[in-house]
Amino acid sequence: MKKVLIVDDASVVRLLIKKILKQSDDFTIIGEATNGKDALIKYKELRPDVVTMDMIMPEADGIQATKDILAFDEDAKVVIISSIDQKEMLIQAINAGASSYIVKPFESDRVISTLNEVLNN
Amino acid sequence: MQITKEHIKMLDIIIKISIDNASRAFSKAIKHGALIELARTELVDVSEITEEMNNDFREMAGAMLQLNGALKGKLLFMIPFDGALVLQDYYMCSPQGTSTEFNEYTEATVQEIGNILASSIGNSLASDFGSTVLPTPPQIICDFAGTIFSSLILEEGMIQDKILLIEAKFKIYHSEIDSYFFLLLDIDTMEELLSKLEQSTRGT
Repeated sequence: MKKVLIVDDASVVRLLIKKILKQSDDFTIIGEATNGKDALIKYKELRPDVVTMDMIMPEADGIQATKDILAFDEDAKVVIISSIDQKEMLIQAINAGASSYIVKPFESDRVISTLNEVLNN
Repeated sequence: MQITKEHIKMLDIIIKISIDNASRAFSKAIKHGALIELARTELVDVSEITEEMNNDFREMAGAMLQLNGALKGKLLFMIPFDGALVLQDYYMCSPQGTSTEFNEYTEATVQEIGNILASSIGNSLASDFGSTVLPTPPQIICDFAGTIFSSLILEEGMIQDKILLIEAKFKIYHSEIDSYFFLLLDIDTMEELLSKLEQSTRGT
């Protein structure tokens, strides 16, 4: 089972992602973080296989947190899950080292297939 | 630059398209059809609109965000408590009636719906003008409608007598819930946007 860290400031989104991932036998949720700073701390502590990362969060945003995680572990897999669907931000996410990008509101299948793709690549 | 009726008309069209996109995102998020009605796009008197809102004594949950980038502004999504519980069940795909008490998940649902709406409007404006418009993390306020609305216009009301207000109502099919949506655009960045629009209109 692949270990997932969920990062989002909205508890209801974390709950929804957990619900979706529990439908699959491939994933186990090992932790949650509510902002970018917390995400880096949890990453270092839990060493997940993949991180789902919100973009707009208090403290440090998802782009900064992705950069910080990649600076700590260059093999880290981070999937941005955000309602921002703007070219400039997609470029920033990819430049930060994100492995993929899912636009909210999302379909369950899309979340599972994207995480699988990122992990299998 | 003075804001004329023509400007308001242009803005009304842009906002209608943006809000229509937001409405689709909203429907997808709650996995349920939602209808949007743009109530008004107009320059309103701060004292009059405040008084109007102060007459609404319902307790509501509001998500307030700022838009930053090419177009600056503030956005407020506001829904009565009972409506927020219905919204929570839709969002979490739970049978209706599951959520009976307003709790941190209800608050987070309003927060996330506010975020999706603001992002959707930002995405639409950014795509129209080839720029970036980003929302801040939503701030949640639970209070009477008038009090929540006052927090939205507090700063602007101190500086100017009139504000440009965009008001819309969301109706969720099969549920008698109205939610309110206000967009308060920063006059300076909006003037830039309108002048860009005028130039592109003259060019065609």
